[in-house]
Amino acid sequence: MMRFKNPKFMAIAGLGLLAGCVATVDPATVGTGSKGETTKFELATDVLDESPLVPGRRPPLDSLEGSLWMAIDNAEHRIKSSGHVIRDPALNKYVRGVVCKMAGKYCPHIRTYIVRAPSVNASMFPNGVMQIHSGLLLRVRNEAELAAILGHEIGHYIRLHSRDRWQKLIDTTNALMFAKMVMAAAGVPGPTDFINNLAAGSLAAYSRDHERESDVVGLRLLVKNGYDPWAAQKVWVQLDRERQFEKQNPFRSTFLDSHPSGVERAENLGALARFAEKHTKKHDRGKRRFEDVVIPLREMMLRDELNLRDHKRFRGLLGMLIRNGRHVGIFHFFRGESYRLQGGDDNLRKAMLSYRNAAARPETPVIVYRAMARVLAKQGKKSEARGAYGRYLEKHPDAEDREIIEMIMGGMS
Amino acid sequence: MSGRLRIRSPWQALALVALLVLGACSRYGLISTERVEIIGAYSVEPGIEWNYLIGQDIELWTVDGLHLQNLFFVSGIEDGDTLLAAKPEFDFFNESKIPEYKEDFSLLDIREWIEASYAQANAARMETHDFRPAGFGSKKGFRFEFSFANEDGLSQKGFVVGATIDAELHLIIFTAAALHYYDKFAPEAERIIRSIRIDGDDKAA
Repeated sequence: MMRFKNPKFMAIAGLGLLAGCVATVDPATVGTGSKGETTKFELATDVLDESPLVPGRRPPLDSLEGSLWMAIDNAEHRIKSSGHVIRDPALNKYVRGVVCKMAGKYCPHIRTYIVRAPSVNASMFPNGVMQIHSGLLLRVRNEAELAAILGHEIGHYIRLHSRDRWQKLIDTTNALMFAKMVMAAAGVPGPTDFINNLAAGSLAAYSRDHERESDVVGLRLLVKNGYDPWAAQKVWVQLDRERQFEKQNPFRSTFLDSHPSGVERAENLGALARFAEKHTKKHDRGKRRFEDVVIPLREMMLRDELNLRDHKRFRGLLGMLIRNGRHVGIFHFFRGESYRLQGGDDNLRKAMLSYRNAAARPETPVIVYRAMARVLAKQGKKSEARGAYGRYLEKHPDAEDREIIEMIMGGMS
Repeated sequence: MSGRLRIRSPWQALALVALLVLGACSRYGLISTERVEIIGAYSVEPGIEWNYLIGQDIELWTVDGLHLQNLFFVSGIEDGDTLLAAKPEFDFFNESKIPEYKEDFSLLDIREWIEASYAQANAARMETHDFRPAGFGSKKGFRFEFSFANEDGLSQKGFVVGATIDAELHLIIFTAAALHYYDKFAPEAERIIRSIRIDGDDKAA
């Protein structure tokens, strides 16, 4: 799993070796694992051909692994029919396309589910179930970054990491408990689903050797498909940056923040990218392609984030999105929504500033005028509020709440 | 009155009302077709027999089961109350993110609060529409329609009517499976809402 709170990484000690590899595409030997082992970073061959996983393989039913697969298969039935799965055909077709590009011959054995959940999560199960949370799509900035995350997950999949990981977990917990964790982690979480996230976290805790290996696989797939080799490092830094907006408390930090910051990991991915970019000509980012599909869904995703009522973190995220994107009117609007909901004189003033910023941009939905009116009414500026409600109705003649708005306006005269 | 239920989905909420909140008194009762008092604020007159559960400030009615159709009466909502999930008992770091009702809420705020409460309670694709003024007995109230999918992907439809009576918000929320049950029971729900008689009016009449 790739969770942005996630995994430990060992420093890549082989930077010196990388620096020397300029002229030819020799495999670079990078990294020191926990026992001092190294990983080859090979660009001349296809990483998919080196995988121990036979496409379409299923473990025998009477094996331990087989029974775990059954548990995930059951969970998949629930995912399939879940109301939380996004069915938008354009988005599914697009994401599926990127998955298949990265997964190559394994593509027919991977089922991709895009889950509507305001959390930063992508995960892959050994039976080929891949889940991508909409919160991740909101934060990722281009196709190359999405591909980087998918490539990392595919890395865990084709190198059979979860089998090793699960075996260790079963050795230390009991099998029934473990099966429950699998079910919970593979299920579709609610926005504040603690047990679910806990289970996902436990299962996601791959060893750092596994993480390092998946990063290398992911990056090799990225390069093979002509994507910007820096995408993995950049998306990691971006996701990790959001953590600064989270409230810290001593209980949470011992519990959920059991992983160190991503600084080391970013450095390691950067070292690999520096090596890779010298040996590849194509550095595609696919920003337009990605945005064309995701922009129409942003309002929904942002509403889901807003509903968490985690205002400080949400506004931090919005700040990052505003700096990065185009069509940023919607981000300004939701910044205003967050300030308005938090309330208080100072926040209402900031809400108005954000709404004005949003209203100045053509892509902003007309509900911004209704939102402004609500703030003005709370500030006691009745005639201005009336004016803003009027603008809303004028720009949105078919407003589904017209009668209520007219009633509110009537009460202001 | 804050912190009524502790749940993860509206359906768990509804089931847990029976199991946790009502405790020993969690058996269903039967409501006949006579006029019935709703938590000391108003009365209604059902046209058919319903099964009911009563909790603190809430009543839940159903005919075939809560997943198929229910009427959810929430009464006496005051500043700081939550709708579907309880605020944590100990919130040392003031981190509770559960939407709370505020007494200065506008009508638009009330709808937003209900939407957010359902979304947090794991109602998928919660959408509301057709927000309009509507009578609530002799009071001026409001109404809007909604739809969402539950965790099993079953589409639900319903509507909310509400009004403020003596500075407290009262809501009636009708929810039913979009397939078959909504159409079958919506007319009865409408009839019950038309029959609302506010307690003070009762005496005057």
